[in-house]
Amino acid sequence: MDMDMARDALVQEARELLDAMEAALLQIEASGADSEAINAIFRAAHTIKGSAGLFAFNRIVSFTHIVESVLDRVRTGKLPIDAPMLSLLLNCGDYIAQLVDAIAARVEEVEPDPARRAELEEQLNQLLGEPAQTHAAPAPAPVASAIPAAQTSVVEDPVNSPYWHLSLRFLPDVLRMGLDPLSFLQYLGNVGTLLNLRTLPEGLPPLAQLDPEQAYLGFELDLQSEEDRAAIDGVFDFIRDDASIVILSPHAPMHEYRTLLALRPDPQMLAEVLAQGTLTADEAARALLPPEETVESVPVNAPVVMTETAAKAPAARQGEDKKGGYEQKFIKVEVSKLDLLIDLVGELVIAGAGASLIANRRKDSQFEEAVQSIAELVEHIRDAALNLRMVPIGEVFQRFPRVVRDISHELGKEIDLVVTGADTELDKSMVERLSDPLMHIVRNAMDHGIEATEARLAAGKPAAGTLRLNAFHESGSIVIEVSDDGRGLNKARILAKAIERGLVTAEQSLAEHEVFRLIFEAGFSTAEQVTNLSGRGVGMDVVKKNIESLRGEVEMLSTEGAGTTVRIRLPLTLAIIDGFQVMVNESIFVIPLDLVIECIDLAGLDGHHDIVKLRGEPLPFIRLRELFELPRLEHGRESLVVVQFGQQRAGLVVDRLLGEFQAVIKPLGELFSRIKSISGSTILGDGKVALILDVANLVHQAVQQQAAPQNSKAAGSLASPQKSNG
Amino acid sequence: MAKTILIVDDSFSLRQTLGIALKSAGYDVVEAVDGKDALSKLDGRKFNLIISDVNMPNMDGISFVKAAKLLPAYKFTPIIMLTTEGDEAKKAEGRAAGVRAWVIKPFQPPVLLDAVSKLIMA
Amino acid sequence: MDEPDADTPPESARPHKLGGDITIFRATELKDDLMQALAVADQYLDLDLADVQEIDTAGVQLLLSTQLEAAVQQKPLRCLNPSPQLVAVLAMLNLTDRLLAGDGA
Repeated sequence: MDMDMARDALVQEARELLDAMEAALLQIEASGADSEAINAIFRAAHTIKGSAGLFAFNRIVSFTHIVESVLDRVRTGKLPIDAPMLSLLLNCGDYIAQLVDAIAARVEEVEPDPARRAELEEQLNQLLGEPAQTHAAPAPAPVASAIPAAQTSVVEDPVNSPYWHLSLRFLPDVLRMGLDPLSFLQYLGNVGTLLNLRTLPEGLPPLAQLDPEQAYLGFELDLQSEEDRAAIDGVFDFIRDDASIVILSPHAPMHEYRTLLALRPDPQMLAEVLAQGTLTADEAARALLPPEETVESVPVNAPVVMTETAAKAPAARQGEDKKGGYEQKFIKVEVSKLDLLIDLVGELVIAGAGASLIANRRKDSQFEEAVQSIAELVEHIRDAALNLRMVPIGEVFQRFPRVVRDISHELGKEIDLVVTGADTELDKSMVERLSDPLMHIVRNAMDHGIEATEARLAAGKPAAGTLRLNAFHESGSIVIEVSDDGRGLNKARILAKAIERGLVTAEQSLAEHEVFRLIFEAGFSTAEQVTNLSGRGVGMDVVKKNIESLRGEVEMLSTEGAGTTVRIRLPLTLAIIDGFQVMVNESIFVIPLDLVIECIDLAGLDGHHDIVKLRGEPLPFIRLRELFELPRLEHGRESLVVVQFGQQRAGLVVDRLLGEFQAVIKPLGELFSRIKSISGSTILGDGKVALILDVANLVHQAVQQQAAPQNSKAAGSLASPQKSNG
Repeated sequence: MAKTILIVDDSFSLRQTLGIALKSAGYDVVEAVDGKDALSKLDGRKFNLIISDVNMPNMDGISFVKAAKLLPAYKFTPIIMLTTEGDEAKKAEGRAAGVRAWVIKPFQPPVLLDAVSKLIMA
Repeated sequence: MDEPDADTPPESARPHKLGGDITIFRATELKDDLMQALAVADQYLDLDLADVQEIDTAGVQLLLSTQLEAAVQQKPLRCLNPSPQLVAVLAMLNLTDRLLAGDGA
């Protein structure tokens, strides 16, 4: 894993943590503080700080550090988590997100917004103003780790040795703590060269009395090293409190050796040991003489005094998994790997179709059976692979509680958000592109839909407006609804505006849904509607374009005075579909199977022009041959394929029905993407290309023609009747 | 035979980065996401060292250490705890539980590698 | 069949194998093991240390303590075929002469 991948992992993790932090803060705001939420917030800051620290991303480390300090106080109850604190923390979360964005963009050395940061830090530091009360135990009485330096400035009577000398003794329990003198000695070998090392077994009892888990050995050694005392001393940081570490510098004064000998239990023996290399015989003898200065000597084998701290252990969090008691195991997968897998599955589907075709022609039943079972398996793999790309729409919805909160504050309106169907899944590729259109629709609903509090009360509505986000599956699509209980759409006003803007003429009579559809026309948004919030020149027409680029549709439904619903419909998968092959003249077309209701022999039907009566109900239909300007077949037996999109049905007249078929959707090139009746292409088993019909568009066309028969000449063209080709 | 280290931390990116650093230094690494997960990994296999964060969901570091030290196969295993600067209360708790080695977050991998080589033989 | 060489010290019963990790984790068990081995040893306590993997302070202490005890019981300790890891550790601690001299201290 290289730096880039590590950085991406950090960014992704940080963003997830910030989402969790925000969710926890909003939850506290709504239902009061609870320790689990507070801990989640603390952990977010703590973890981001730790991970960023690995890469030395100091800007985010230092900012998060202050936030963490404040959160620590909140966690231990020293600071209250009131409304100002919540807002401050939400704002800090936003700034940390900016810092994370900087890391993602590889510009982490640039402070995103110094003024904002300074502002936030000031608020944070004010909260930290009181001196921190520590729960620290008083430092345990250390065993003397350095001989006090001589009073005189000149080193008196220096010993010969140009090496550091170390004398190591350990408390009996040191091994039980997981500390082993040997690893420290080995490490010391990295700091310098070990010389004259003596292992002192004097403390060892006879084997029968030996406590196998207790430490008895001491060590005396010299160290040749260029490092300074701090570096050498630092080697023993972890073991210091359970040991007596004496370090004498090169050419240390004699009196220091005297003090060392006095410190240790058996000076005579030690002097002999030192005489074996560290000191000359003469020096060793002199060292045995009584020291000139007295030093507080602490008996090495006395237990180090430790004061029990008063800090109480935080209650161990139970941490019930939020997903209802069972743990979901996840692994992170790179999106590109997933796409590759789906491409391969697509190729597999095509290859499988090819094999089926051959098996068919050979009329070999065994072969056919074998190929059939392969085809079934491939279908399963296909579904499983596509399912990998499905994510719950909750991912898109999750930013809205915060958005609704912020906007409702700004507008001075009280607005509640109700989210349902967050589990409804959709293709991952749609998630990002859905966010902006939804955002715009929500802002619109809050700004224009929901009335001010007084107006609501006057209308007999509750003071707080309700905004609903809902999602569900319906006949091969995912439906997303944004509803409000506001003032609703005023048909007359919309019509008036549309006439004003030249979108329609006064003579045209339009059904209600057609009037509402005018809102999505370019040029409809007026200056008054472009407020600070929903403005920026982004109108509902752009929203519609975005949705349509996802091969979806959007419509508005409303009851004046009661509220409005914006309904978005998107196809569930984009990549591989079950198709129904049909033939029109010599060309093969594919219809998405889950939109096909039934197929009927046309000859027996009573119909004329564009409408046929199906079981007493009128069904508009289109002759695909006419639509695509293909010649009539001599001996054709026309069939009617009834398809449904959303709530509407229509019939498609074809020359032959060919049966089910898995279609791997290959995108149409730029040249063909404007053709409204076609949504994609696919490769058949024999290598030929078939076009996939855009059922939504065709159903619209059929309904259109039925409603306004004088416009039916548009049925002969390939382009959408609504827009004229430029 | 390579020495094996158990890393316990709820941060995915820390586990990854640290894991890479330790593996590059020649150690085998096993990861756990919190104290509970870590305990499940203490199933008799050998660990030469445990590195654990203090703050984790489901079971925090101190509780984990206390539980680990009750297991005969692990009661003498050296432990490094990762902590926040100035968190004296946690350090004291850790000491009482038998922890002697601490590395303060944020740290860079060489600092941790250093600590590791002080506690286990190469 | 091997002829015992006049120059090499006579072997007692088969050398006692001491292998794996000679560390604090097994120290209690190893102590009993060594005491046992010492009890049944004849003239020497021979330890075959070819399979020693890790060794820590507790392990070194066991060897040293065993050596002392063995000397008291007049069954000198002989450390045979020390593994590379053992050799390295004893070298660092300057215990090579003491423990690996060959013919028992």
